[in-house]
Amino acid sequence: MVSEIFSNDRRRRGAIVRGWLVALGMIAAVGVLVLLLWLQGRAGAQARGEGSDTLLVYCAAGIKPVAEEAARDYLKEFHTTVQLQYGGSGTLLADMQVARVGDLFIAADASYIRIAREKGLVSQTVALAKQRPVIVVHKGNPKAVKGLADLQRPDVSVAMANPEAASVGRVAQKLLEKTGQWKELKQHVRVFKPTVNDVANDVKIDSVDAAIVWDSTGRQYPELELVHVPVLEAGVETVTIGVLVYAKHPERALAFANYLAQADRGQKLFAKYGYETVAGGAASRPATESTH
Amino acid sequence: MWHETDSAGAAVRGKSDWPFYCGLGLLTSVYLILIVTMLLAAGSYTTWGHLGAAFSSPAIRYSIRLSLLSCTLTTLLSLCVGVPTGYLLSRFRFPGIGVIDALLDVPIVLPPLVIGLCLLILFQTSPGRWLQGWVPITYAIPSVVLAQFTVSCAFAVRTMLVTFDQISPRCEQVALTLGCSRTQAFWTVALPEARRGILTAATLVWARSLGEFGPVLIFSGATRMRTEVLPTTVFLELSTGNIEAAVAVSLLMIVAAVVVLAITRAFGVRGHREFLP
Repeated sequence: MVSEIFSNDRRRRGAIVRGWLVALGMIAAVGVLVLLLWLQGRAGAQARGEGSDTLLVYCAAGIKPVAEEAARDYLKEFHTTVQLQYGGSGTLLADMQVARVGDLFIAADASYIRIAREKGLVSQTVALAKQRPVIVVHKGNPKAVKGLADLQRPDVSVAMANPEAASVGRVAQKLLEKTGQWKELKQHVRVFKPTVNDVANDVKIDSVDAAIVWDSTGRQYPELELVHVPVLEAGVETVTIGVLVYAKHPERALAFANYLAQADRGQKLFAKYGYETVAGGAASRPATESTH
Repeated sequence: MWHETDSAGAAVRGKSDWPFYCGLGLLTSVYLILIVTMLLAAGSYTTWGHLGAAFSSPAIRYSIRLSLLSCTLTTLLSLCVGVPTGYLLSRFRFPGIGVIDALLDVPIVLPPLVIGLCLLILFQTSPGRWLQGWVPITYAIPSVVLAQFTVSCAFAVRTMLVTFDQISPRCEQVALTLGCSRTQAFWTVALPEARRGILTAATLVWARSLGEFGPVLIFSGATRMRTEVLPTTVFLELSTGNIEAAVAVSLLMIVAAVVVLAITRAFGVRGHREFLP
């Protein structure tokens, strides 16, 4: 009896030691994982060539292909990493007010930069490129969409960007409100999405027949066909970059903004991805004022 | 056994049970067909070429590694907190326990986006800023783990609470009468008995973290090769219209989920059954 209790006691103590081993093992495993994550972060930073010079750029989702390539080139040329944060222009505007960090804001149209300036978020601005809303349909235009009237046909389903979140939605709303077509079209629109690319995707995978997107976005999709409409054409908007007041080194931020506006650098990329550049002949046409 | 109950029941009541079985089978198969066709449709949107291209992309490889590492760390941290919390709530009664119990459910009921926003705001307050002076959190890797942990830990707590509730405290009480301290009773009796519950909690937390997107998007951002986890990759590829790569990464996540489920089954744990509150 006594020996039984004794042996039990010993076994129990063995188990207690195992308990502490579990605890220690757990701490060690957490330590190892933290280390691995830290190394992962460093590897990522190295892959991006990141040094101490990093610019955080809030970038309208539609501009992503240009911004990504420009960031790569900029890193090669000036050893400054450009970190890109994507979203709809309106969404980003809200994000940066909460986060209160960042160096630059690329908006799909100048109005967001204006709002940012009014809120005291942006100091200098640089115009980058022009884009205008168009209707896009699947290649070959199977539903024969020729104009805005066709968008209201019962057999044509339509996607649009959310006017509160994305620039193209807001611009299209403004234009169509002037012609009195907005109310009807809004009823007919099957889905509103948060960014211009989400809308173009819907047409690409055939979940809708037509959508209103930027002409530049439409040109980036080989599966899509552009239908130009005079009412929408009037809505030329200027892709604009602004230096944020949160920037620790505003002069470095401005340098990247100017790089994007430089004819043989950023502008070449904008042209490559189907944008009308500001450096070209179109620069004389004032952007936002031409909206009648 | 099937035949026995069937014929016996039919003999006594004079009614066939077949319509009932057919109904059960039909309703189950509706859901099964939905799941299977959904997976097949996703699979049909990609080719081996697309898969190869996606997985040779350094950004996608980075996001795979980051996802695996962060989910595993989140799982360990969630267990460290979830096991003791579940034990505390299951074994002890004290004033305010109802409030604590309700608070621990908040991350489960809050919309994911709201959690992300709350975290983002938390780290802009002055204590948050002070902490960020030492370790960068917002828009950096620690924010990924923190975002996943905030949501997943609640699931670990819930699972462990149910697990300890189902284990009779009698064995621990016996251990106490035999001279164990509370600590010893926990380590030597309660914890080994809760093994299966811990495994369930771990797989649940891991799988849940792998799919966590809302809080990560808001709190960590969607920066390539930095805070890019697998759901972020799907989102980024979609936002440039690269649906094929998005589907390829989605398939990878589906495979990971299936593997986790298989591991859980192999250890004889029936998925979320023990989790049901």
